[in-house]
Amino acid sequence: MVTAVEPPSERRQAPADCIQLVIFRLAGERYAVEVRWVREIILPPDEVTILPQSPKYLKGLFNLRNEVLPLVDLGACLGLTENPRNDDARVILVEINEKTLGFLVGAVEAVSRVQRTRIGRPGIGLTSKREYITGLVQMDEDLVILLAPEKLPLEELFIADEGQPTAKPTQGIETL
Amino acid sequence: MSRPVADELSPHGLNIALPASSEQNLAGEDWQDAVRYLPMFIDEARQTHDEIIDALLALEAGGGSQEVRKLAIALHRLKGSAASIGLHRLAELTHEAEDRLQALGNNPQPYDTAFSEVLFAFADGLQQQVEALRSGRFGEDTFAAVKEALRQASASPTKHRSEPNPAESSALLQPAEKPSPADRKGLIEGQVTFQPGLSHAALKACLLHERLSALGQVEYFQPPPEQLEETAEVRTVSFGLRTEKQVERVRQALQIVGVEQVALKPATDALAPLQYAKPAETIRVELERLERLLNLAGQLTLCKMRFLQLGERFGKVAAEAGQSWKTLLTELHEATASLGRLTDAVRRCAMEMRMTPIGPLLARFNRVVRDIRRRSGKDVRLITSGEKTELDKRLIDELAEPLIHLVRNAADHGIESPQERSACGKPPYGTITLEVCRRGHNVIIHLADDGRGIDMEKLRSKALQRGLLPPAEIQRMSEEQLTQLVWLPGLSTRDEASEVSGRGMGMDLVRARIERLGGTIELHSRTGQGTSVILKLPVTLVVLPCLHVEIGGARYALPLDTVEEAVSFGPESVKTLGRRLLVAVRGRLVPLLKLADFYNPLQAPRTKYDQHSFLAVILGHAERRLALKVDRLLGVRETLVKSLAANYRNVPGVAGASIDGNGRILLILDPAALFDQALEMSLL
Repeated sequence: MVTAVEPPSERRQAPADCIQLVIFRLAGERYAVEVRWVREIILPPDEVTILPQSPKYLKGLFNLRNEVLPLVDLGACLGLTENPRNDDARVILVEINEKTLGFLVGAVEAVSRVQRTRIGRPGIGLTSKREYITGLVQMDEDLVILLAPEKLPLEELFIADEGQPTAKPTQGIETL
Repeated sequence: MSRPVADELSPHGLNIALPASSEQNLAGEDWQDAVRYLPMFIDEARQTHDEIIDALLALEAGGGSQEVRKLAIALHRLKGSAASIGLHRLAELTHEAEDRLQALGNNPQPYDTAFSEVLFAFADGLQQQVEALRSGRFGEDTFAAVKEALRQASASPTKHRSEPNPAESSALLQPAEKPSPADRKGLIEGQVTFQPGLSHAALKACLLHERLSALGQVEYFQPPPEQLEETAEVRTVSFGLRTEKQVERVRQALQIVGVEQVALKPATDALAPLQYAKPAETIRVELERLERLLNLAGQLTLCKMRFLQLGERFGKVAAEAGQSWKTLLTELHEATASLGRLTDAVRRCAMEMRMTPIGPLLARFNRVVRDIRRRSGKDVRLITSGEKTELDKRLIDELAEPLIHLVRNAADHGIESPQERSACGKPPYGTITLEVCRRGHNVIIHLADDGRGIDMEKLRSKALQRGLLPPAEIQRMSEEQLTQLVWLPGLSTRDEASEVSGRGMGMDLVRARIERLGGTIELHSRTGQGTSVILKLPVTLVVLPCLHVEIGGARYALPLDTVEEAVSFGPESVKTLGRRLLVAVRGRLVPLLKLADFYNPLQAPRTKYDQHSFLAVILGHAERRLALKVDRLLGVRETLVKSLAANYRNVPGVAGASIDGNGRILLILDPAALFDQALEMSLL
């Protein structure tokens, strides 16, 4: 079973024994996130605005219907080699903590419904450091890695600035 | 306070709501405050009602802890705002509902039908209350059903207060007998007194109502005619009549047998201070729509510019042509000029729609402090300043709740009792100051009290108890560091909750709210000397006039209030001083900054400079000046500032983002940070 996480909304619920996944490609591997996190999937923006002193995985800000959203290179965030940009690249808009951000991925392959029983727990070695990997799904010939977006190492994206304590108190206080 | 304090204190200290009887003794000015903020409250309460219903429905549909949390937030907010305008009964009820919810939250069982029924009943009662308030029926008790349901649903009697007082169901806010419409044009108000002991007075009152109705539109009539039949004795009748008839004509109509006195007041009289308008109808406009209006106004301006240019070009052509062309040209000029005036007016109007002074919000806190004074027996004084500071309406709305929370914290937890204060050698009354000012494009709100400060030991033990940090670390922390723990979720130095200050749900929410507005919040506390909170809000929701520039292929906006001039420099004008680059501007040497330095602060500036002439914008703030190298000037524009923290976080050096006419995002640079950067570089 997948660890229970509170989704941002219950609007797209699959039957209890199934979950719906958005399956996408990153640096040759297949990954997935649960549909309930996903607001929409769009083409990469033509332009991004680069921010000063931003983390490497942050491509910049882009404008989606008058909203200013951060664009995250998911590959860079996971420490993968950079995606060569091609026509298949997509941006998956994900809602985490009431904030919307775009994940730049190599390609979006499908949205499929998967029985929960088919999701394997990743090995201990794999999860200890990477708690954002919540499962492995056997699909067709290869494995799909299931990601929990809220656990991705994106703290830098959300922490407060100016030396205020953050969600991780130790860190915040040290910078005081 | 004239009332004895002791009987307002419960055995639990502060945890008691105002007894209903004191609500009836409200002094006029308090009531006036309440009325002024009623429209705000109504707006908010309606929204809260919808939120509660949504969350309840979601819960019923199998939702989980998230819905419970949403409910908790909605109730908490409602409690706060109800208490702040004196609707104590509602506040108390909400508090009770919150208590139950809290119990539910700790309970693994996610859904409880009985409780949900109670909350639905509560939401209904709330809606009725809001409608009653809206139509000027103050003091209506719409919560009888809820109280009953709460009592039934509760297994144990309520902890904090005694059984509801029957007197409670009487008027909530008494002096509201005479709501009068805001627009008094053609409105005649009056009072008719019947002879004492007149039989059939109620009938006569009905007759008066009929007669008045024949003369015009009866805006209000007290007691209401539909209730007259049940009313045993009527001594006076007051009414408002909207009519074109003369006052004397109305007086005539009212002279019937049994009437002792008729007092009439035409509308042209100055507004009597103690008469209250039915709350003004307000409408919440989606910010997006206002932005669209602003965008349209901006486009209209561009269109106007095109007309002007066309006019000029046309003029050149026409100069060589004949007289008939010149007449046409004059007409075109006139049309363009009036288009320009209209455009400017529309744009200003759209912008002003969003700006309101913060005064009314500040005044609301007098009420908050007064209630605490009454309830706790503390002598607390509130000093406010900066009432005229104009802020975006939405910003004010969003600030209300966190600010109320902070003021309450200061009064409730910060200020000591008079005895305690005297023992410390402080004046017996505590002082809370609330200052608002605009500094550059920031609004600074400074809230300070001279109370006991934060209890560091308690904070320390709480942090230990909750296992927030390793014990060794907590012991090592300085006071300043400890203070910062108050921002952590669920950490409050109070063990019990009170009607006003809540249960530690506050500070983390306060901070989250401020940050969502693109602001920052700082808290400093000195044991025994008091606590001070500084909110700094970029005027994010506001349109800033900015100079748009292009640097390295990207576009940026510089807030115009710091832009002094744009100067073109030759390569020879750059001087080197240590590792600093300087240019001479009007005989003064000014540091020269390239944006690249800002993006990569670790890269030391080069000692050699480009060989070409270049353009720089001179920024000035107080006595400081700096030159920012730019590639191109794009012009001055009204720039709508969007917060980066809405979906990302605040970035040092960037005041916000804006979207230009082509849909591109441009960053609005924060000149203060540029100055800091320049200073830092000079220290390298």
